[in-house]
Amino acid sequence: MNKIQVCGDQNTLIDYLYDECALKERERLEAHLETCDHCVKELESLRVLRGTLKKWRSPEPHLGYRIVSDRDIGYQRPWMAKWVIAATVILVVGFALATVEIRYGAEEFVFRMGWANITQERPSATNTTIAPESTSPGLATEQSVSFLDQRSDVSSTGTVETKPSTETRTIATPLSRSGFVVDEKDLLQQVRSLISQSERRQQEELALWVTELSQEFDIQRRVDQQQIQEELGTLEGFVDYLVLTSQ
Amino acid sequence: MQKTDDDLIRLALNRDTDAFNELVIRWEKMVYALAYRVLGNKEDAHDVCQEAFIRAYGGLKNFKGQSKFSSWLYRITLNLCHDWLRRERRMKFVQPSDELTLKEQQQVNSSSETIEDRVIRRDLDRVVSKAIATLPENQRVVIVLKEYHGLTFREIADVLECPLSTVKTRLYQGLRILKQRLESVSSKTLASTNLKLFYPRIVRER
Repeated sequence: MNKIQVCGDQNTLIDYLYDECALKERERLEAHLETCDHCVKELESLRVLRGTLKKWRSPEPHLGYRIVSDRDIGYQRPWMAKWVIAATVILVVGFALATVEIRYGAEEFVFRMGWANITQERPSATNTTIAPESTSPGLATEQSVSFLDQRSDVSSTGTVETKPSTETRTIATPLSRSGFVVDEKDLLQQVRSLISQSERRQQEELALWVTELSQEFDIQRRVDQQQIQEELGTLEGFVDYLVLTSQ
Repeated sequence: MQKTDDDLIRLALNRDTDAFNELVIRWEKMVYALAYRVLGNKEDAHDVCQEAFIRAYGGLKNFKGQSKFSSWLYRITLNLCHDWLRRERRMKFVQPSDELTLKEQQQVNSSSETIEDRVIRRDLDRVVSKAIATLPENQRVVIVLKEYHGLTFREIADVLECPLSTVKTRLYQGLRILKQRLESVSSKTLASTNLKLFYPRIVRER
């Protein structure tokens, strides 16, 4: 019964070889092995083979893989992106509708999505003009301040409602030229320190590499010397052997 | 207390790159060894290992935790190896360089291993790796996972997404082929090794 069911049953033999056999199967196979030389030999040869395979060692190089950036490869949040797009679309459409201008009369029909020239269309009411295009950000800020001042002056006439001038100034002040220069200096300092850190790291890596290389060279030289001595010994022994056999 | 793989995965999913790097440190050697034994080439193994971690990082949100993280990583690595072998036709015999690596050289110097031992070991490495490299890929993969990574049959079946009986059949067939190939080369190898080692002994004995 054992012979028929177990002998040649590769799966059971493999299970037994790797010690993943159920207790019942194990007992059945062990009982079979007592009577079957073929299976005993097979099992023994596979065990020897496993012993040989175990001797193959994988190299262990220095790997050091690290993820250094999380550029949303796996962390995209589509729901968030959709909400952002939807909100942007609503704002744009809302703004366009809020400022749309439709005029018609006997001579012409005008349809304008009025975000371009709102102030130009209302010069008569406020007497304000658009600030001319500036050449520098700082200048632009100053002009914007004066422009806002004018608008607040207008508010005192009651034509257009705006916030008081003092509040406008407090918002505009952080954008002044001096504040910007300080940030720029900080930024430059940071960049310089990063560059110097990077240079230092590169120097250290180079030094390490050179040291490793010299060590490697030295070890290789010693191994080569040993091998040469061994080969010489082999040759010498072979000559001696020839001499002995010829005598 | 050391964090488990699951803890680190949870943190990594919250964009904690350090947590993922901890997983990399934990598993990079295993992944590299797997790729090396399947591909039979150090440089290719490096590339595949790196790519495997990039893919794992990118696809971490798809990891449902139904299997172990290591099994999932093994599957990614083996898929990459499979693509690598198929696309690049890089199937080749392993030819370990005769030059020793720095680590090996240091081991030789520091340990009691003699040059003779080292020569024998390297010969054996070469013979075994050559024999394994000539196996069909599906048999080679099963043998590598079982012999060198110690996975159970169930785990191998999960990684390869195939029935348990298929795993055992491939393993058995692979071992049979290896046995034949190693038996045929062992006599030659032993003969040459003995010849090499025999003559210096005469010199020493005299």
